[in-house]
Amino acid sequence: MNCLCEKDSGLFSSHSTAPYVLGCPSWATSEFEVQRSSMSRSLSSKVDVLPQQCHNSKTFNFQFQEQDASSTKSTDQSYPEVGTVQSGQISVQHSSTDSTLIRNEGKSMGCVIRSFMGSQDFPFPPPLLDHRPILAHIACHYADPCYSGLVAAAYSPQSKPVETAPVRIPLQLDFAEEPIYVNSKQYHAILRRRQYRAKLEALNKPIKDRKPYLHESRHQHALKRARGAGGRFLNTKKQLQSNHTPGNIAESKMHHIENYRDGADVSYAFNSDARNMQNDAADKGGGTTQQPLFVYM
Amino acid sequence: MEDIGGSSSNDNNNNGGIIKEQDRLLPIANVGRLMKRILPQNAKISKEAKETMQECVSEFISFVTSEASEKCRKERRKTVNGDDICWALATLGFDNYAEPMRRYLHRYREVEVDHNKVNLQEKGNSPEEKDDELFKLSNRGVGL
Repeated sequence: MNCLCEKDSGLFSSHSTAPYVLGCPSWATSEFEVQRSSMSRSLSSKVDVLPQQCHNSKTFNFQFQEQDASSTKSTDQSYPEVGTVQSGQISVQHSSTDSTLIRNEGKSMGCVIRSFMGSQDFPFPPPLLDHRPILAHIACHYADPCYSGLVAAAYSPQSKPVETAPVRIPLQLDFAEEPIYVNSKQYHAILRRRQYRAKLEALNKPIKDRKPYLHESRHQHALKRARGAGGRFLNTKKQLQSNHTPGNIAESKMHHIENYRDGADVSYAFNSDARNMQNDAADKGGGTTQQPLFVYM
Repeated sequence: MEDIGGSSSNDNNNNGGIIKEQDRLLPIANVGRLMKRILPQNAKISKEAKETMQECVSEFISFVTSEASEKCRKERRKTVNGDDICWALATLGFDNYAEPMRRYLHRYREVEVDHNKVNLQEKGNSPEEKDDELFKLSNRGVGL
């Protein structure tokens, strides 16, 4: 740390010795360079901005002061201490030459100390010729502690694209030890449905089993109804035709008895009951039309 | 579809709090018919498979409807309409279903408007035509 401070003071002392040797215009140029370097350090601006400032410094002093004013405004928006330092430098311009140089050195030393304290991992400075890499390093290190809010602000738009991707959220089950991962969009809906199902089970605990049929009368009617080959119901025309041939009637009755006695065909009986109910509903609703019967057969 | 269990007859003892099986689940015959539609001619479906699918589709309907109902509750509305169902499907991540359902709903409304015009012109109800229209819509929905 002491070596860095000594080298920094050496740099500024070399800058200060140069204008005494040369004449007034060279003194003015070196003063501008010192101010530009201190401005760039305090502002923590990027290296790309420096050529623009060089170009501006070549023009009239009025534009240069205007540039100072605009930079002061920008620093006030971002960092208040840097604004105060900038205003101090602006006021220093109007004072005498010797005190100007001394105060410039003091201000720049303060800036260096601040940047050094801000970032513990300050790299060893390169030789005098490479002046911009130092500024770049200082700018990079200076930006990290000052603009942490910007980093946090930058984090929130990054989280948005992550949310668009389907993310699995662990869903804790009461009766299971391991969590089950579900779609994050459905998490709250699943919890809501689970609560509702629990409430439903509490209410409907005695009536949990399935009924084979809903209406006893319809069930009896389905049992009495004539059935054809394969156990399907006969429609009206086929039933009339089958009346003329007693052999078919006997065969259908045998099928009926077999289906009724076998336990394996209970599911088919259930389906036939359901179809019977639908046929009854269709008959009641639309009258005795052949087309609905054909559809439901 | 026919409302099998909906009509309250004398055989049923209607208790207000208890929800009956026929109100909680879809009719099993209709579920079996829908399953059979996609299968080849000689395929058979066991009763257990139909019951399992009956539970699944009934739970899915309640799942989507509860999401739509929650949206209506927040917006202080009492009627859940088709747009709410499409919104619920999109919100729950069923994007592949939401878009075809929206198109189906759009065409269904067009057909309803035309059907009402026809009824006003004829001044007579014809249930067979209504059934045909709904049947066409269901076929179109499957095509989507």
